[in-house]
Amino acid sequence: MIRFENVGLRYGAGAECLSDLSFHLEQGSFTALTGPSGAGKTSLLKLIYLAERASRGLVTLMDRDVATLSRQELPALRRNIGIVFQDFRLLDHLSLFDNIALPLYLDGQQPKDYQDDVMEMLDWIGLKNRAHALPPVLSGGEQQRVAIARAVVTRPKLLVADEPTGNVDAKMGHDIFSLFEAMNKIGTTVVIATHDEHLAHTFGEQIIALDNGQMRLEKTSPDNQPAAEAQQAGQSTKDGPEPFSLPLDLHDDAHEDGHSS
Amino acid sequence: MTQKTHTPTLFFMHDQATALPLVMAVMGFLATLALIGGLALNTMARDWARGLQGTLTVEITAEALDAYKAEHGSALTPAVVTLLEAHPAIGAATPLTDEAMAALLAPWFPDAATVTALPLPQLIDVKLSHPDKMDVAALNTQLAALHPEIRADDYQALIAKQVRLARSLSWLAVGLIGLVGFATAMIISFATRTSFAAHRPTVDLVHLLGTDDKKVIGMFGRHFLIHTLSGGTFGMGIAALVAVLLARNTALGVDSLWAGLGTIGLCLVVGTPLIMAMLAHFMARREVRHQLAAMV
Repeated sequence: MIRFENVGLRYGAGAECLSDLSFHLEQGSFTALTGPSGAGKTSLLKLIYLAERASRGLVTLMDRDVATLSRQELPALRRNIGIVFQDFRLLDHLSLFDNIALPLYLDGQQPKDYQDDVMEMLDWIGLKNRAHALPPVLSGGEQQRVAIARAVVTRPKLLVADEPTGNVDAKMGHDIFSLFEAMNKIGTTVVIATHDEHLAHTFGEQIIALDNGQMRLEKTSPDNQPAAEAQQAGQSTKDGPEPFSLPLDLHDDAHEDGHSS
Repeated sequence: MTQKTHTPTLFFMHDQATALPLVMAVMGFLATLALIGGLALNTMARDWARGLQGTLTVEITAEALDAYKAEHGSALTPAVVTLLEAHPAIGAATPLTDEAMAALLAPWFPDAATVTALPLPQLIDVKLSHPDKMDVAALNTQLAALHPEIRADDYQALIAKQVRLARSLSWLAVGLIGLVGFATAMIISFATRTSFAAHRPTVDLVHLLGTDDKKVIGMFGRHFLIHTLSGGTFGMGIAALVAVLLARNTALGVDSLWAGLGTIGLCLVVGTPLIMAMLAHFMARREVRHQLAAMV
């Protein structure tokens, strides 16, 4: 799914913020990206979700060499990637419904075709009754959930999340990782950047530890992974995403961070 | 809960109060007024030149008529007509009758009897068969041989300066239209750049969500096309109204204005906002394409 070979990244004429990264993430893998602030987690994710091109080295995504792709070929590849941004990037002038529906609309689908899917998502994140609300009136945790719903509404092959638990409490953080794990179980490749070493080791099949632009790849113990048993019981497929019923109830009021209006 | 289906508005949701249509209205006004003025002047110059081409007027003073008759015992006018008709460049020479003279002077002398009593010169209307072969100075020498007070007036020389002035003003109008087009293109280019910068977070997001460049380019292009079309149409309407009022209150007249424009001219006037809108559409798309090309 994702292959990096001696990849380096520099912004402008500055020093390399990522150096000699080499790793291979299989389709259907669950990878946690850890490291201190400034280690290069977000830069690495940007290379993965095609916001940046590598300064050197080979980046292969879904069997395509990114460096050889033309600008016209990139959008189709991007549509297979769900992104949860660190700062959410919700559009403040659009309702929650429209924010979640945005990837579907941009893919050319008609509102009447995606209405049910989006309402299902809103129900899932516990904001069905606030479909017309605008993002600025939501708490950080609610905005986080909307951002996640927008990332998964297209059932992407690859889900990339940058600090998705940064604005929620520990319980909600665990639930969000459980959600990503559920998506991973139905074949979605998941890459999550997090400060939370505990969550990373609990859910990640492998961990890429970044420090000062250098990386270290660790395999975690299967005993730490709640998903492992389910996978062995044949409940998952790693051949690619398939339709799934939303597995978790994220709208427990106890998880709100108290800023909801 | 039922969600009303609609298409989300990604860009320009707060642009209702934008000054762009107003600026485009001014541009439309200037372009249309310059176009109408230029076309009308061009038509007038053409008509003047066409009307005067191939004609001369020969004037015999009253004193010359009397002196010639006293000296030769015959009328001077037939002799002049004979000389004129023998000229290789002249097709016909027709003396103006007393009735025609009376009609010409009617605004000042309504009574025809008064006109007849006045010592008026005899005018001869000359039609040239070969205007390119006419040498007015040589003809005047021939006429002076009959009598020194006979003169051929070449109105083409007199009117040529006015025709040149009108044509120069027409070209000035063309230049003005070109300047308006250039200014419109620059305004749209700057406005697009500013608008793109204002919407950059949204553009970045939809870009990363997999939107084709064409879709973003199309959204910006449509926005500027519609604003320019609406503003330009308003400006064109005001300019047309001003032109009609000017024509009505001057010697030109509204009918002459329409006739001066002609069918093609009218189509150009009506099509001015559309041409402006297409220019704006092109410039906006070009600018957005340029901005997007800088993104990964």
